[in-house]
Amino acid sequence: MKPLTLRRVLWSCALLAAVLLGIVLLALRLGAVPFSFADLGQNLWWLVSGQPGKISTDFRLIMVDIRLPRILLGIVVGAALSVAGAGFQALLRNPLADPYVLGVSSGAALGAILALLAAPAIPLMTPAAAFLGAAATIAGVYFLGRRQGQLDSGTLLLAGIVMASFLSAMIMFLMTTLASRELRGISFWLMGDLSTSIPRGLLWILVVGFLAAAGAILTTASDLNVLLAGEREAMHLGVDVTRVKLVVYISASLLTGLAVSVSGAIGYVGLLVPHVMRMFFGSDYRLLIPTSALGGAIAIVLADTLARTLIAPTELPVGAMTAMAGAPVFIYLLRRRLA
Amino acid sequence: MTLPNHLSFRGAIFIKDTARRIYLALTRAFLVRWLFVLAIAPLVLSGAARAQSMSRENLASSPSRIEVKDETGRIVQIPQPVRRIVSLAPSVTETLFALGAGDRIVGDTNFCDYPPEAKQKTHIGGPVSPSIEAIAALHPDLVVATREINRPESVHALEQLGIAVYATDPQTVEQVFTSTERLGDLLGAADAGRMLTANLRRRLSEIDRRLAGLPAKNVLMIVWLDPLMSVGRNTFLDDALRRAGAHSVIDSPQSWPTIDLEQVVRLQPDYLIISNDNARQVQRELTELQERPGWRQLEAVRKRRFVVLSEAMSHPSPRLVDGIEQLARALYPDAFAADAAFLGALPRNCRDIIMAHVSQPFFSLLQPGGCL
Repeated sequence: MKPLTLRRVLWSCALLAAVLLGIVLLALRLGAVPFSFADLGQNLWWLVSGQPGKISTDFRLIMVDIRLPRILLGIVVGAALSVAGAGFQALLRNPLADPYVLGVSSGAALGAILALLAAPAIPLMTPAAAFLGAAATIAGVYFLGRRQGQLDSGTLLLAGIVMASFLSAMIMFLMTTLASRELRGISFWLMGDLSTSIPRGLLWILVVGFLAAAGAILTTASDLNVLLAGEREAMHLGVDVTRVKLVVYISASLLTGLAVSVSGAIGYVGLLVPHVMRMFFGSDYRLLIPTSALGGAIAIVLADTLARTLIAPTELPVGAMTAMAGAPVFIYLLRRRLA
Repeated sequence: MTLPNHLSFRGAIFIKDTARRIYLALTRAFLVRWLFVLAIAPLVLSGAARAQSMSRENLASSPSRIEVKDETGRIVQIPQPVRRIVSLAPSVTETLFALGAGDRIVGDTNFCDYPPEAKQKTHIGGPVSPSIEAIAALHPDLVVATREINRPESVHALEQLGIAVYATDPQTVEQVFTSTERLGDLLGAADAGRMLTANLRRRLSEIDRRLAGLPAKNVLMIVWLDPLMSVGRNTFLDDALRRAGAHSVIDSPQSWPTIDLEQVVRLQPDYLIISNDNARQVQRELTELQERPGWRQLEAVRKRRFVVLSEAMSHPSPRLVDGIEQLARALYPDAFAADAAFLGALPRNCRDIIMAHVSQPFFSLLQPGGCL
């Protein structure tokens, strides 16, 4: 494998950032209400150059208030899920690991359901409760997954899977017995959905949370590389394995919790994007983490654009889209690599 | 982590080396990242705040607003007069047309098919996942939702854009009427609303008069076949059945309970009721039903005591009274014998199956993921 240079990191990221920018422009252009590229460019220029007075009312309402926040949300959620996925794959040393493997999404969904039952009218209650549910699940799995005071990958994985199925069973139980009308949105929630508008303050909390947690994972990147060789080997090479595992576990769970609390459990992205990035850019975590973040953002924005436009004006849940489009793409890449 | 050696300029090497060191420092040092985040966060936030304040300005421009409490307890500021309405449910669309406000509807859902003019309106998606931007682009003065099938998330999203959303939530036939009247008041059609509901109430009391003294018939309302779902006691549909002289054998606190077939066999309803406008689908379902093991045990199935109502019965709109009348006539033909025109017009083999027209089943409104 080629040695990692700064130049490669920058070029890879610049390439992906350019693709992301293109996709974002496309996503801004497409939607239930059509805008031409000329219109889009003109209005965007006015927005950026500080002449907001000139922007048409329609553009402001639909672009600035609806599409742009949704695209930004998609970028943050996609980046968070992919980085979390890459983190869990390294932590559990299991290629099948995804952000939800330890039950975080079920915990978040349960929290959201309880919030909907208790106080359906308070808008921010649902994401807050979902995040609390995710946090509680993380803590629970952490204590179940320890062995002799240390996080053990195998035990952690089993504890997470058992927790996930237990929480899913609780959700099914609540949904069938209570059948409150407020729970209708839950199935959307379990599939993942970006259509829920969230206040901007929350979006920026997400951005800051993402940067902090993804940054924390990035600080362990070179240790994760060594960890690929095995825990014992890493320990002999001077890696503080306990600390690395703790940092990755908490940060990746935090990222998942943040993403799930605003968008529900969007599947596949956290599993596929890190693998696709490995195929393109190699498996050095110092490169994999930034490229996964960008790749995840691209994947979600693309999937959400399809979800919005495919059968417009009705919207599909984005989670259905990521699974539908993600699986064939992944199989194609996998076969091509093997050939 | 080595740099390529072929670089010929020492300066370039120095710059690249320094940059590499910084990047490595970033990948190592958590604190540096944090400081970086803290430095850019205020910039980003101020940019967001500016965009936010900008978009609010144009919304406060409408002349006068009235403040009302909607049927789910939300306080809503509604601009007056209401000229442009978006309806988020078929029942709402029907109610608006009945109030004579059909020409003010600028958008409705893909499932709004009654009256036929409703199909000509701009569609904004399904009731469960409408396109918020398509609604916003129509610049509605008022969006009317109903708690029964719309999601609270959609309502919140519209609220955030400064669009007034009034949500209806009728749970009895009487509440369907009062809800209609309140919508009439909001739209400046108070008289039309009162006249409409007075007429509907008169038709109901006519049914009451004819059914006076007759014992209620036990029925099973089949809302959905697989899995078997019926109505619970706190729904407009249960109340509508009662008004038509039918007593639902299912008594559940849930709105749309899933029922065990065993329980139905034990309760032995006199009639099975289906509300569906798709005649072919109903025929297929009923034929299939007669061959299913458990269902054959039902007296009502053996004797083909099915009542098929139009979808009017499953929409909490003024049309509900049509459904109640259909059901009352089907269950108590003798009480309505004077109206020979109605029953006489039916073909003989339809004596037990009273069919009415129209199309899509109400519960197919719940798109993938929708669940009751």
